[in-house]
Amino acid sequence: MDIQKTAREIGLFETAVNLANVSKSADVIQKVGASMPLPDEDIWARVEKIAEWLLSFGKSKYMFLTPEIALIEEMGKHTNSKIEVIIAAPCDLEQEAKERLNNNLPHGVEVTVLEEPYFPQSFFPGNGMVVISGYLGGDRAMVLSDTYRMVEHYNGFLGKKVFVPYKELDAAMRYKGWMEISQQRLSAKWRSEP
Amino acid sequence: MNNTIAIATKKELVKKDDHKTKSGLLGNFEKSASLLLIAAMFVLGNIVALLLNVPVKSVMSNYSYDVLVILIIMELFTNLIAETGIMQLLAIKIAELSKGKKRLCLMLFGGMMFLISSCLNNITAVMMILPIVFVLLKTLEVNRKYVCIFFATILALSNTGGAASPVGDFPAIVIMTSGITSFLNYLTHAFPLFALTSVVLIVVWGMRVKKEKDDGAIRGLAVSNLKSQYKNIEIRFDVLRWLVIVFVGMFLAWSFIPQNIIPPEIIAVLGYAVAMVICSVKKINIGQLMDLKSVLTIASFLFFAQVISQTGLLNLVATYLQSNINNPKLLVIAIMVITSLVAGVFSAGPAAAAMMPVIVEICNGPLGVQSDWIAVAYAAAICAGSSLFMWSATAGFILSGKVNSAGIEEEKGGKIFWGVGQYLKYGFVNYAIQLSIALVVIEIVL
Repeated sequence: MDIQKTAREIGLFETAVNLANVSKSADVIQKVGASMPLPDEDIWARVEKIAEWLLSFGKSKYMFLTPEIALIEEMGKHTNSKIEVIIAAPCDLEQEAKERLNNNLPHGVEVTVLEEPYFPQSFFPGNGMVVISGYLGGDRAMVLSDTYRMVEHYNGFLGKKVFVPYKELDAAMRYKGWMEISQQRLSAKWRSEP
Repeated sequence: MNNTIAIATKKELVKKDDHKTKSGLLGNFEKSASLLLIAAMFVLGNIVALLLNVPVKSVMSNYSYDVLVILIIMELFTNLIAETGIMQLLAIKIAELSKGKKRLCLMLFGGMMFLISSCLNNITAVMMILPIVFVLLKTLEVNRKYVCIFFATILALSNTGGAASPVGDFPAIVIMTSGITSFLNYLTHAFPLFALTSVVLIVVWGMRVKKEKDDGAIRGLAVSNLKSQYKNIEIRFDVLRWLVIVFVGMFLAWSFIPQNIIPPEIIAVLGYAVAMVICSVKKINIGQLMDLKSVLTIASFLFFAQVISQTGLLNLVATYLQSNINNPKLLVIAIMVITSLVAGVFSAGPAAAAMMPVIVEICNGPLGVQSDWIAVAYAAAICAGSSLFMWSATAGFILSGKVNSAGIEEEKGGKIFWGVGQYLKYGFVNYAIQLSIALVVIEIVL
């Protein structure tokens, strides 16, 4: 099972929610645990807190570098104001996966898919922010390789770039297919305990 | 509504990925071969007509345009239904119901394939469920053997489904429009036989899949991920409801309105026109694509068969068979075996077009009273033959191309390829099962 491929299509948080239900299985630990850190059982609470944290920035446009459908749905539930979400799809995402993603956009929030390498329109530091997902290994922000590429590509954006981890590890563990992004690329990191 | 009427070869539009998998020369030959075949059949038909003094105008006046019209309309109608998203919903429900168990997946998707292709064009039916099947198989960690069994079953069931109703596939449409049986008689005789055949196929292949000995967590995760990939998909039940009403109306009209009052192709056109209006009102964006190459192939074989028919050669074959085989049962069985082999070697469409005049001739003879069963026997023989080789089935090469371009990998790594060679032994079993059941049933009922 290529769990990283699935995560590229539905986002790390949705994948983590699905994983949390079966994370005690020896099979899952062996086969999936080698590709990514397994999430905590209270992943839904984390999704809710992160959604609220993102909304607390008061932006009207959020650009996600991974298609975090679980997080976007949760943001939609927690806000009454109109927000616009832009999902940046990696340029090397399979055509069928792109089509599935386009048909699977969360309802209740205005969501558009932007294909890398294009830049969003009317997306300024004043009204927008970039959201990067991954996991924290110690203090290191780890992301999938295509997210790493997009972080570099959209680095020219001068507004906020925040990191939201689906899992916080105590030690700086690195999994195959994951890369560490420079701290200088980030404005803020979400932490479960301040 | 933004209706784009685009009649183009579906292969050209969706086969972008297929090109990657077929090695250059073989792939190019395969593409050219099908076009050459179309041209050859038209040219050969004209040469035969000129040499044997058969007026081409007379051939065309008896040409089965109705078959082509129904074929095109059913494919376009299938596109409308597909636009509602119902196929995805059904496929996900099946994946959920199976809990990712491979045997159950095979059985349930097989059953779905039979039911869908009995109502709709079976190429489109295959294309509709494949994306979801691929996503599921990629996460279920399947092996080479399972993939071969799974798609061999799907292929066979798309054939049995296509033959189970008079509008399911080309051979059934040819039979319905030939006049040897009515819509309702065909449906009531054929559906139980093909449903039984499908159950046997599903059980036989299902038993070949070993039960899993794991804790089910990975399978559960696979299904959860699949559901996540389609969780926000919009199902247009408001449109689907109306399309179902129209489709049922078409079925009733085909069943109860005599062909000489309103021909079946006109009912198909009327039904489609109504469905179009509904989709227009409901603001559905529809791209109406269809596989023109398959229509042209069938058109060319219909033309050639019509030329041969007008030479009187097929009547001679029918008379020869009738005069040499006195037992009517044996005669039907002999024709079934010949038809199945012709369908196996030359594929279902050409076999249906070529052998139809012989069947009509036999139905005009002493076996006229049993013409409903003879029609079903003929359909069963074509159906069995079209499961024999990859190229025999209407959806064979399209399915193979899609499976190979999907990049399904084994647990240990290594891409799984499913082509003519891999299907061969499964094809023989499919053929043997289908033909045996058909022969036994015909032996009993005639």
